[in-house]
Amino acid sequence: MRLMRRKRESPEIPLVSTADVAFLLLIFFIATTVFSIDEGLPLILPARGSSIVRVSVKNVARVVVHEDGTVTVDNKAVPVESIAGIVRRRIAENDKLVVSLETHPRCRYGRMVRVLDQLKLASATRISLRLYTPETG
Amino acid sequence: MILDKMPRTNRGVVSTIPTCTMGDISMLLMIFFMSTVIFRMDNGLPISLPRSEAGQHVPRENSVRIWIDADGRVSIDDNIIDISDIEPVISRKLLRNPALIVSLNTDKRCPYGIVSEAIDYLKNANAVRVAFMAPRIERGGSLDE
Repeated sequence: MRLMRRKRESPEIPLVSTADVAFLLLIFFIATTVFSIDEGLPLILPARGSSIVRVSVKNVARVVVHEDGTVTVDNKAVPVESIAGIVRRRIAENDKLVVSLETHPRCRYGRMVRVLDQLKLASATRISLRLYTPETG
Repeated sequence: MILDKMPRTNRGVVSTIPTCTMGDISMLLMIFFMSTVIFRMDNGLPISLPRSEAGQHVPRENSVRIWIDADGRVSIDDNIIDISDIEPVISRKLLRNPALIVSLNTDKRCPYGIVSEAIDYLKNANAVRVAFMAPRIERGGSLDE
């Protein structure tokens, strides 16, 4: 008896959908990519050798961040979240207002940034950074 | 000829834009970007930045990063340096690029005294443009210190 020889089919990997998969991945990554950008609180420091400007006491809002993190505005203890409102009001009353931000050397930096953030929220442009020592107070 | 006398029609021919190569193109683009992408690694110190609400975009092009960790160690350009070396290093960089912005990446647990010292050295180096790096919080996020 003569047996029929079966024709062997060459094995193939189906590649038809590869393009669709690639396109799908491309769209996924385009849609989900987040470009990392640097964000911060910019400040202009006084230049070296710049003369000391004397400011009248009535034009100064003295914000002090104490060692334990409590904040006082002109010697009055206030919650941190309210600083923006207070300073905004003070600037509306007096557009020459200079905010003197004094921070205790042992206070956490995060706390000082929180207060500086509030000043930025209040659109305060004249900010002076100082180190608070009980003697200056 | 008979054929010449017959009216010519375009019937049966559908104009299409060939899209069968789209997949190949997208695959090519994907492979190109996958092979050329360079992940930007920040090799500074392990720090935890404070967050802010009023954070502004700080351009990277003109900026130099100073890293200060919770223990007060200072790093610039992947080198741990003494805090007093901020002044000469930044002065040299300012000579090359006067529009330099110094971005201070400081750990939120760092005592402010160290940051203040760093600011003093920056003032001495005449680096007036400084940014306290603090990424903006997402909507509904909390400002932990």
